[in-house]
Order: sequence, then C-alpha cells, then structure tokens
Amino acid sequence: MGGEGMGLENLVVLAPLASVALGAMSILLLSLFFAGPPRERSRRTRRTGGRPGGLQRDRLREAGVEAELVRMRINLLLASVATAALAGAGGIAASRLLAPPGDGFAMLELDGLAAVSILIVALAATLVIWLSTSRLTSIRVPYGEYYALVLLGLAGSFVALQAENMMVLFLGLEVMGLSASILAAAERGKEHAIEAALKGFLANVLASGVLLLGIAFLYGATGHFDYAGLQSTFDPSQPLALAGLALLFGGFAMKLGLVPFHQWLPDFQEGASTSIAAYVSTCVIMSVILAWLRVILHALPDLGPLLAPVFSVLGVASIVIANLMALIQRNVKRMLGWLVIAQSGAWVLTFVVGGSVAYGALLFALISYGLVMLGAFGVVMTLKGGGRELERLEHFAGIAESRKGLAAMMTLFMLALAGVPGTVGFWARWHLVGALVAGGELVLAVVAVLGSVVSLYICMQVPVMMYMRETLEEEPSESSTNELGVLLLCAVVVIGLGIWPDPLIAIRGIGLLELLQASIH
Amino acid sequence: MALGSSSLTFLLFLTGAVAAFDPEKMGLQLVEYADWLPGYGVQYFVAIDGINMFLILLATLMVPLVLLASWMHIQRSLRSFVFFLLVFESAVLGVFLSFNVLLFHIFWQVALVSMYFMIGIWGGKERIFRATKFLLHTGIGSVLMGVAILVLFRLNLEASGAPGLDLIAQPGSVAPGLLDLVIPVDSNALTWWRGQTGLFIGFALAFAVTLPIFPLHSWFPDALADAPTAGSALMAALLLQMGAYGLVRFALPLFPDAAMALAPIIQVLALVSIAYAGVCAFFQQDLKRTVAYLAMVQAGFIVLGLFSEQELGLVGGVVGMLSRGLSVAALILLVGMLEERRRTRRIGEFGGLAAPMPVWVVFMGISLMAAVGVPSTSGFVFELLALTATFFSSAWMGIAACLGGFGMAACLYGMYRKVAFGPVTVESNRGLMDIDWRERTLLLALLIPILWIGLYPNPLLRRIEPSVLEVVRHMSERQAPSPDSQAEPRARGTLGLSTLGEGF
Repeated sequence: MGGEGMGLENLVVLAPLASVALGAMSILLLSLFFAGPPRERSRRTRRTGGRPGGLQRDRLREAGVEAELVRMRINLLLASVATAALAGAGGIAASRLLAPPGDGFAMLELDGLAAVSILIVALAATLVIWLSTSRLTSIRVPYGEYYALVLLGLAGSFVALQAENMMVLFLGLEVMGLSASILAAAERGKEHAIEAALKGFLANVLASGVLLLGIAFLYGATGHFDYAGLQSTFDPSQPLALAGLALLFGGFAMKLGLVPFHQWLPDFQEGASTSIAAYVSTCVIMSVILAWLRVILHALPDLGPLLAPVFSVLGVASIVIANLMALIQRNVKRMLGWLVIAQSGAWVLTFVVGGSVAYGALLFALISYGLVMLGAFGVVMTLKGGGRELERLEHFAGIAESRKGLAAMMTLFMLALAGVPGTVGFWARWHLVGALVAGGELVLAVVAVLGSVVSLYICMQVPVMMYMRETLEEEPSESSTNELGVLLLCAVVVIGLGIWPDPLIAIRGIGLLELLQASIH
Repeated sequence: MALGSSSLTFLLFLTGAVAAFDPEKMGLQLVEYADWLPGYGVQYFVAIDGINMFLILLATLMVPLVLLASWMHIQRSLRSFVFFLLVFESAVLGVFLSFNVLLFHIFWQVALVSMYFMIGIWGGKERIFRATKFLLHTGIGSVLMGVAILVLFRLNLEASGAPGLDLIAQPGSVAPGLLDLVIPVDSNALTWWRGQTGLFIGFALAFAVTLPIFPLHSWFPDALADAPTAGSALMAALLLQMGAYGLVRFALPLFPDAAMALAPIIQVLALVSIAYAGVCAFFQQDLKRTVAYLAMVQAGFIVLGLFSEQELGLVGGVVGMLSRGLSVAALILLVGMLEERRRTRRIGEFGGLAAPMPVWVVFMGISLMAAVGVPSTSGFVFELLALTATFFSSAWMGIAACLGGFGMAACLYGMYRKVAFGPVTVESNRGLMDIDWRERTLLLALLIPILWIGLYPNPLLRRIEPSVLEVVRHMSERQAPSPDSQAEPRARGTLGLSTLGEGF
C-alpha cells in the first residue's frame, strides 16, 4: 500500500519507531553479554561464605560488593541506551515539528500531532526509566528484559500515535498493552503482581477485541481501513457504521479505564509494582488518549452533536465516580489509580467541545499530568521501609519529619494534581475548563471544577498524613540518587511551568498549527 | 529573621507608600505593571488606591504582630510555620494589590491553601477535620470564581479579540479593561451564565464563603477555634477581609446590575447572619467561638453597607473591613493569651479576672467595644456609616440591623461581665499573671489604630473616599439604563460623606 513515492525523506516517518526498536534490540543483546538476571547469587555467596573467618570472608564480601557495583554499572548502561533510543525518537519528532510536514506512508504519518504525541510519551518514558533503575534490583526484574519491554511497548505506542490506518492502530495498541501485561507479571514472586498482570491482560484483550470488532464493522460499512478513506466515506446514518463507531470508542474507553469500563485500572495499579504502575498510568494511558484523539481528528468526519452526549456522559461519570471512589481508598497507589480515571474523564470532556482550543488544552493537560503523576508515583516508589514499598496512607504518617524533601515534593505533586496555582496543574485545569467554557458547556465546566475540589481533598490526605500525624516507628530507607534526581527535576518543572507556562504553550502552538492544517474540522 | 523581614516590610510600606499616596487623587497610584502571561490575560498588575491601602497596612502590621505573639506557642517545626505564614502574607498582599482578575484568583487560592496548612498542622485537637472543612468550603467557592473568570475572559476576547483580564486597561495593552467591557444582564435561559447575574453569583459565592455570610459560614467558627492563635488572628484579620474586599473591588463595579437586582436578597441574608450569629455568640461556651460569631455579625454589617449602594455605605464597608480586622484580631490575641495561661477557653472557667489581670480586662473591654461599635472606637464609625446608608436604602432593614446590633451588644456585655467582674470563681484563676510588656506592646499596636479611627477618622475617610467615588462612578456608568427610566431608580450613591455635615 505504501510503496508509491517512497523516498528517503519518507523513511523519517519510521525513524521514531526504528529508534526505540533498535534500542530494545541492542539492550537485549547487551544484556546477553553482560547482565543476566540480577540473581541472588551474591547474597547467597555472602551467606554461605560467612562461615570461614578472616581473610576469606573479607575477600568474599569484597567480591559481593564488586559484583553489586558491576551490576549497577550495567544497569546504568542499559538505562542510558534506552534513554538514547528515546532521545532519538523524541529528537526526530522534535525536528519534524520544526520542519514543514512532508508526505508519509499511507499507513504511518509523522505530522504535528504525531510528533507532539511522541514527544510527550517519550519524555514520560525517559522519566519512568530513570525512576525505576534502582528499583529493579529489589523487585528482581531482569534489567535487560525490563528496558527492552518498555521500549517495545513504546514502539507499539509510537505506531498507534502515528497510525493512518485502523489495522496499524490496532497493532500498535496491542503491542503496547501486551508489553505492559508482561512487565506487570515480571515480578514473579508477588501474588498481587500476577493478579494485576492477569487483570490488566484480560481487560486489555477484551478491549482489543471490542476495538477490532468495531474496526471490522467500520470496514464493512465503508470498505476502508485507512483513516482518510474512512473519513470521506463514513456515513452516520448507516447503522453498521454507527455500531462500528460505538464499538471502536468502547474499546478505547476500556483501554483508558473510563467509567463504566474502569474496574481493572485501580486493581492493576494496586497490584503491579510501583514502577510498572507509573509506566502504565503515564505512557500507556497517555498514548491511548492521544491515539483516540488522532482517530477522532483524522479518521472521522465532524460528528460533533452526535458524539457530544456520549463523551459528556463518559467524562462526567468518570469524574464523579472516580473521585468518589478515590475518597475511600486507603492505598495510595489505588487512590492514584482512581485519580487517573478522574483525569481521563476530564480529558474526554475536551472531545465534547472539539476544536483547536480544546485539543490544545488536552495536550497541555497531558504534559502536566505526566510530570505530576510520575512525581507522585516516584515518591511512593522511593519511600521504602524494610524492603517493601510504603503504599498505604497510614505509612505516610509523619514522613515529613524524617524525609523533609520528599514530603515537600509529594505535597507539591498532590497540589499540582488538584490544580492549585503555582503549579503546572493549575494551568492545565485552567485550559481544560477554559475550553469547556469557550465551547459553551457550563455544566461540564462546573462538574470539572467541582471534581477538582474533591480531588484536592483526596490529594490533601497524603500531606495531611505526612505533616499532621505522628510518625510511625518504621524508618523509611534512603532513596537513590537517580530517583531523587528525577523527582527533583519533576518538581522544578512543575513549579517552573506553574509560574511560567509559556514554553508549553509554544509546544502546544506548534502542534496545533499542524493539527489544524492536517485536520478537516 | 522572619520577624525582622516582616516588620521591615511593614515599616517600608508605612513610610514609603503612605507618604507617596496622594489623598486627593482619584484612581490608582503606584501602579506596577508587567507582562506575565499575556496569552492568558494575566498581567502582573498591582496598584494602590484608597480602598486597599489600609488593608495592606493592616496585613503588613498583622504578620510581625502574630509572629511576636506566637513566639513561644509554636513548638512544632517553627521554620515551616514561619514559611507558611510568610507565604500567606505574600498571597494576601497579592489579593489586596491585584488589579488583574486572574492574578487575584491565583493569590486567593494560594492564601487559602497556606491557611489550610497552618490550621491543619498547628491547630487544635480536631484540626484535620476542620482544616478540611475549611478547604472544601472555600475551595468550592474559589473554583466557581475561576469558572466565572474564564467566562469573563471569553467575553472580553469576543468583544475585543485580545486576551485581557485587567480591571483597567493600561497603556500598551491591547485588550480593554474589564471595567470598560459591556456585560449584558442577559436573562436567556441558555446563556444566563454569560450575563451579569451568573458571573456575579460565581464571584459572590466565593466572597460570601470567606466573609462569611449565613448560610455559608459553617466552616468558620470551627476553623477559627481550632487554628493556632497566630493562624486564627491572621484568618480573622486578613482572610475574612479578602471576601469583603473582593466585593468592593470586583463584584460590585463589574456587575452593578446584578448586584442591584440581588441586593435585597443579600441584605436579608446579611440580617439573618447578624441575628443568627448574635444568638450563637450568646450561647457559646468557648471564648474563641464567641469571637468567631462576633466577626460574623460584623460581616453582616459590612455587607449591609456595601449593598446599600450608597457611597456612604461603601465607605462604611471599607472602614468596616479595617475595624473588624483590628478588633477581632485583638480579641483573638487576648483570648490566646488567656489560653496560654489556663490551657482552656471555656467561659465557665473564668470569672472575676479583673482582680488578677486588670490590664487584660481593660484591653479586652476596648476590643469588645470596638467589635460591637461603641462610640469612640473604630467600630462605631463603621457601623454608623453602614447603618445610615442602610436606613437610606430601606428603613426597615436599618431598624432590624440596629436591633440586631443592640441585642448583640447586650449579649457580649453579659459575657464580658461574667468573665471580667464579680468574685473569682475558680481558684486557679487567682494567681494568673497579668499580660507582660511584649503582649501589651502588640495589643497596643492594634488598639491605638482602633481608638484613632474612632476618635479622628477624618484622615482615613479622606483617603478612602475618592477611591470609593471611583467605584460608584463605575457602577453607575456600567449600569444598563432601565427601560422605565422616568421612574427614578433608587438614588444610588447620592448619600456621600458630605451629607453627614462638615464634621466629617
């Protein structure tokens, strides 16, 4: 299909995908040579070798320390390779933003929207990787596989974000979802993790099935898989086309975890290890909504009044129910999971209004969300007590006294998540609600802001615990420099963009310009 | 350190701004204008006029005072406390200074959140629940104000094609000032929220919650009672005035028609809150809660003054903010001193304090008199102005308000007599130390302005009046001509200070 007019410049379209895929391959190869799984060998050696005294013990301990060091270096090496791959993808996307749009393949396209989407997801993924480097040893996930799976998942995500064809979209989403399930299951020792992986997998497969059925129906109604063809031939008066549309959007809503298709998401977040939960709730969720946005813009004609009630109901239900459910959670990861749903609800509301203002607000909100969510998950990840993560709200009690910096950062992320001024979250909410107001949807705007007040209450539970309650006796351990670095970066950016959001506006502006040129609306 | 910097701020402001302020001039002075986020219509636009100048003085005065007052109180992480205190101060100053609506909104929310932390971390037994209640009440109000601001932004964008949220257009900015924007009264069922009424409600809800006005007050006595002394003094002196200030600065001049249409309802609510809070004050067992209801009664008077739509009433409202801030803050500090000594605030625990603590009793008396508006205190000036204006706009409301005021004064007299005079009922009160020099100094810093305003309000009024006239001018200019204009509408703004005679 994509053969005609294929020049070198068209290969650029494939470059982000190629970059991450190559990165994944090289990581797998490298780990064959160097790493192997982070076995407990050193620990065992130390334990058994503890008997003979004196010199031998010292040497053994030395060897253990050395092995530890080597492993750490390999870990960092692999993480750097992954980062380089992501940077490559992001760089190509960024360069594409500055250059005028050219022709792509028929199947994939690297236009403004795709480039901005890839940038957003790649950025989040980089942060996820550096957040989780030091966690891999303790949860005993093999490094190589971990990084490779993350990168492969991103390859799927990039395909979905660049797709110009329904089958390609499906393939991309499928690759992404599968890699997330495998990642969740990689932590073999933990029962919860397996359960979460299974739940995530089943929900994802079901969603994919529904999505595929929708694509099939659409094909039956219009005879097209490609977005352009669909857009020109889609006829909302055809029942088959409508059914296909409903199934397609149902699939997306399931993947996004919108109410009423939400139940898998909090379970997944609670069960999966924190770094995987962070990966899914940022990279995966953001990719799904961006791919959905792409479908709405490129594959469908303007269906405004037809779809507005659907999106309104999905969005309002998600905001209301997810916030209410988050109120009663005592597990911070699960609570964050519900908040993810509430946020997705707010994003979907922008589909009701449509147009450049709303989609610009969506892009802005996604960037802000990625930073803030990663920060929040990062803090949860960093607070380890006695070898396990501190997940329950009670575990946060009095943290402010022993870990001042972390507590302050967590407070910042929580405030940002609820949209308090001084953080980037405020502007994200401002844009979202502003778009709703501009579109004349007062009721939705009020629901969104009231939802944000409830979110504020929910989010404030964590600082309340940290600052206002007495300390538990359990002392949390030290956190690694990588984690702290990423968290600090997030915090600085959250505040910086909160005071000066102009750079984001610029990115959004470039994306929107092309988005408007490319789309028909 | 913090004390030093905050006192320095106060002195700087006192010497700098007050000297530079020209009382005769209308409009804004000492304007500072800088582009912040022009795309959003947010400009760093701060200025001083007669309305906010004294509130800023109050704010800069209060912070060093409460720092001085809570020197020994705060045992837990003093540094963070001072951090939140100073954040709160900057936010409040921002609220009072902003002439850009979004800037105002941002500072507003920062002030609320920092107050939330002050209550929640350093408050009393039920601090977390009450801090949360505070945050939910005020938070809902403020996000609705946010929606209203977004609508205003849209309206201005549609009218002029440029983003702008400044109240008054500054040279160099493309968008017109909001005060030049014509906002229709609009009664269309679908677009009502783009008209004055909807916008006014959006703003006024946030302000009514912070004032607080019945029935949106339930957070207030709780939050005030459970906040640490420093926090509740700041809340009463500054946070509560933010609501009244917002009405004068934004809600009234921007939406005069809606304000006028809704004025009767609001005045009735103000009367209800005077009566309700008076009754509640009478039945409280906790001194601090009594003070809280007292502040609410005064909120009722302020609102009556502001919505009388007379210049006199507006001046009264502005003086009222100041007077309420001073007197309630003094009361809270006094109660705090008592609490520090006895570890309780129950009225029943005290009696005959005049014997062991004569100075405390005298100071308490003056502050209470200011709070209920006894002549020669600032409370009198404000209530006189507000009530005169109310009488002018509706006689029965004026009478009702007067009755409420008298009733409350009687109740408080009863409370004061129980606490201060008579025999010493509880043995442990006999040996109480009277307040020391540190405490006297900081109380005097509040009581001297109270008495000064009460005895010689002229300098104050002369500075406030031109700015209030400006507000009145905006209100009457922006008011849509009523269809039956031959029927003389309520004579707005005719009742000026000059009508009170040469004495003022």
